[in-house]
Amino acid sequence: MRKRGLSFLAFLGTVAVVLAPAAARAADTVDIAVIVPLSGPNATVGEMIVNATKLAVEDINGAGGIKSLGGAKLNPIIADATNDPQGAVTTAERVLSQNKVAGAYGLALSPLTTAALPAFVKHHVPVVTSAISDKLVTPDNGGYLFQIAPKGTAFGNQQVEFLKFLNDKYKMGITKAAILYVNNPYGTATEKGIEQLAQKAGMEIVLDSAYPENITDASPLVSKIQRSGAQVLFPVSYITDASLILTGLRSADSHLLVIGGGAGFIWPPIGESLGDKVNGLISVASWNLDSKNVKDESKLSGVTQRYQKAYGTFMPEQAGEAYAGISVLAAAIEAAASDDPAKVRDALAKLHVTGGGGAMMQPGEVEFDENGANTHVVPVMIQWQNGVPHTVFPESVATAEIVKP
Amino acid sequence: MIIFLQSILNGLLIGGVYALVAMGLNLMFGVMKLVNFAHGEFLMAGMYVAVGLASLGTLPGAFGMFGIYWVAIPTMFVMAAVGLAFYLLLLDRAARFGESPQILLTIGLSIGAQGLAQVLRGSGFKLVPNPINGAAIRFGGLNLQLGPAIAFIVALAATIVMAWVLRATRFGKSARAVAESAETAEMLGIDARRVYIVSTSIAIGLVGLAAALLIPYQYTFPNVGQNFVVVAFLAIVIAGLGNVVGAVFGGLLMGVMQSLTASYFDLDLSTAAIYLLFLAVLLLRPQGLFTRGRRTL
Amino acid sequence: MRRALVIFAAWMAAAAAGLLLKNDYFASVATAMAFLALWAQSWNLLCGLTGNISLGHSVFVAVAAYVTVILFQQAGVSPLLGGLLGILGSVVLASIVGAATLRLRGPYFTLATLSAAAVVLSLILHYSQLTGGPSGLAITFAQDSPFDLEFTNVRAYFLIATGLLAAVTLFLDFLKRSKLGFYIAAIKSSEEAAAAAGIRVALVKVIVFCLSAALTALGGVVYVFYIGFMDPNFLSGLTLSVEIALIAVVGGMDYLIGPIIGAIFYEAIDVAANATFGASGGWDVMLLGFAVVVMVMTEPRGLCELTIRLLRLIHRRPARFWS
Repeated sequence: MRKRGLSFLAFLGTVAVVLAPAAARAADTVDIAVIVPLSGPNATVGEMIVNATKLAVEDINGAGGIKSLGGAKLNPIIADATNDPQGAVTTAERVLSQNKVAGAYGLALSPLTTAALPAFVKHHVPVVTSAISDKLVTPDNGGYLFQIAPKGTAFGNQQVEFLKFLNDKYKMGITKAAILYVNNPYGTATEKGIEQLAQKAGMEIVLDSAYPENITDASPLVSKIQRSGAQVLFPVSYITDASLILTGLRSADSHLLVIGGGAGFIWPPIGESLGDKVNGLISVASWNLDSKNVKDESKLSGVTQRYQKAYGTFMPEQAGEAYAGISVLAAAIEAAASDDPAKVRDALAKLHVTGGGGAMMQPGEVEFDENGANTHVVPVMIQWQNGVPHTVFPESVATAEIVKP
Repeated sequence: MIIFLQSILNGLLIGGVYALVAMGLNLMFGVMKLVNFAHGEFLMAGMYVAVGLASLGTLPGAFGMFGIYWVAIPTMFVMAAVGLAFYLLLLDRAARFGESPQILLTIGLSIGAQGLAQVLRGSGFKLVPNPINGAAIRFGGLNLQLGPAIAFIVALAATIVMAWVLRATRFGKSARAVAESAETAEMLGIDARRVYIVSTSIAIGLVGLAAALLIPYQYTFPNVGQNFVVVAFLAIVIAGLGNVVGAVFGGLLMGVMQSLTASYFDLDLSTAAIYLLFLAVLLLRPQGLFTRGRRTL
Repeated sequence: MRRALVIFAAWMAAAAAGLLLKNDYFASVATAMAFLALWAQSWNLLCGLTGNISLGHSVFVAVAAYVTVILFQQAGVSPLLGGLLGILGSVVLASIVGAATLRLRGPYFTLATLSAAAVVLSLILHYSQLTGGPSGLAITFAQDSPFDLEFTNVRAYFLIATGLLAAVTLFLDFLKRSKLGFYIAAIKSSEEAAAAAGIRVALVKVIVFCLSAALTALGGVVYVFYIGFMDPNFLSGLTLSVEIALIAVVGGMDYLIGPIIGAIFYEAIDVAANATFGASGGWDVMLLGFAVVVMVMTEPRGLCELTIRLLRLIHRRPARFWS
């Protein structure tokens, strides 16, 4: 009896020994870090990113994982970057010291990204970011930062380009512009872009003012706007201020043209709170769900539908960028054929993505310059129609007709 | 001229909102000498309750655009119950602590509550679409935003009611006695603990009322309390800590100040202006602008 | 003298442990604890004396940091000198605020300090040409430059931070036995009696305010070089001020090492909660806040007091058993 038991165990042991290496290889995973704010006022942004990450990882692993590493599965390590630079640094240090990650996506906000960047450089881990600050993509950033979003100044530029387009198309004759921006890095970066181009386009900037974060009342802003005699308003706002500004303008019965600066003007909350009244609202965005490169590619538009189904809202800007960013990271790992982050970094620097998940980012190809900036990306202009933002400009990516504002 | 009037009007409206938020805070301080740093989070909790109720539906027909305000009454009662629990579970014991631990307790509660809100209701920004949001009354060249205007009216009404309660009811008189000196009041047969319990419930109930008036035009999210609480503190100190009626004027003053500086100077200095006004009042007339000497309630 | 040796030995042990730590993560947590403890100690000097709670101490961190870094980046002034000027700036601010708030008690004092920090934050954000505005200032360097407070190895900052902490703790201990310390104790027990005895109460209070600010500022100057990035919303923000106050009170305002214990407790829970629940959306923040609530409800006088109570409980049991 015992003898048979023993030999059975021996048999099992042999099987295990023989199968183990194969099993180990199949169980191979590649870790990537996703470090974004998941608590505090910016948690909502972090959540969009994490949702998209899950979809991206699902798709990448479903398609066979990292084939150059034997089909290794991508494993996202998700961590809360918190709201302040100290928390971001500590979290980055923790994740990078305790795990062997091949790359990272984060930290969504420019101050957090700037603060944590030295940790990434030190650990030789490349980080793909949706933060827009121009100061992130400078020659002295250490070479480990890859900005998949358009630069803040590009944002602002696009808003003015679009105004020029509207002016021409509808003969609006707008010459006086007001710029109101939330006093944080996002607002200041975008404002710079607006101001530069507005000047060059020969517009008169009748108001150019920062306002404090977390306002609970926009009526002084609206007063200032009306007093300035502006014909177009370029507001750059987060969620609550965007709503307060728009409703404030409506209360004052203002028919000013508003060209929003992204963030609060394009994410789901404004659509939910304004209902039908959001239709017609125009804004710039880093990414939109129905740009040509997404709509024309059934796999990608399928992703946006799955997002809607899984999370109850249309796929917002930060989610689309994250999907693209994670896919680009995976493509780099694939190209490097290694999970050594330094090699992944080199692969990212040389990468030229024209398909797959990375093509989610308009115009459908991604390449980084020597400072880490995305060379092909253009900000899109969206207009809310039927409760969802639609891409209306530039022509290369537009899929919807503008409704006259 | 129109601009000046509009600024004043805007200031009064936003000030009314601050006053409504501050009222409960002031009651707690007046009676219990407790500075509740978690006040903003009670506001936030009230907003979540109100938004939850509002998403169930609004009153139809005759109420027209005001249909959403039915949530005010249930929210007040729910929050009063929360206030009761707050007192019985935490403050009852903490009454014996020194000032520093009490403040620390409310700070910890504030941090924890923000986290709890995110755990329970997520980080999303909620605003139930309703006709009040963006609606305004226009006359002359001026416009009155409906949301803040209604909050202003309710703030005034609540102040009148509170003033009456404090002056005419037995509870009110007991509360004033305890506010002036808890020891003396006890000696005279007043159950200070009962006063504390009722005051806390009323105070948090008032916060619930404020919350219900905010939800038609303000987003509800876990950290929303932080945007209101500091100004509420400033308002009550300016009015005179413990001065429940004066808190309204404190709030109005802050609102007008904020509005005027924003309208005529740089927008991003308007916050500095409020704090500077506050510091000026504190240093020149620390008992508050709207108290007569050493009045406590 | 013995206390000084104990503190020095503790520092050597902590420093050694820190240097030997291979894990950069633990080193960064320990460094954060050191800075928080340093600030909490400085805070306690003022607030332990007056019994008031300052919720504006972050302003001293911000003023000194900005002065130092602006002078460094725009005028090439060495941070060692610039730091002194920065600390001086904070002290000047403290003397003004201290003098102005002399007569303020309790919540009035608290809100006044809170307002001072808010005004300074507003100004920093407004004068963006000088201060970099909301985007802040980055301090980047490629190599070590000790006289510029630039070290590539973060453990160097750990050494400095713990060294400063030890020095400040020693200083506070020494202060207790000095003449100034005597005046402070007298004022703490009865202001009127102290005044009657000829102590210049107002002057002492302002001096204490300035000392507290100076030590906070000292930590601030080194801190910004450690973290390499200046975010005005954090440096002059309410969050940092609240953290500093919270740490000192949780640790125990009546004890010399109270703030240090508080810093270890707070930061440990903060990072542990983040590490375990960070990705779960809100649980980490909730845990931290409620840990503080539980702590306060259990022992309002702080962790040190709680530890002593527990020790007494343990020591008492054998005695009861035999008697």
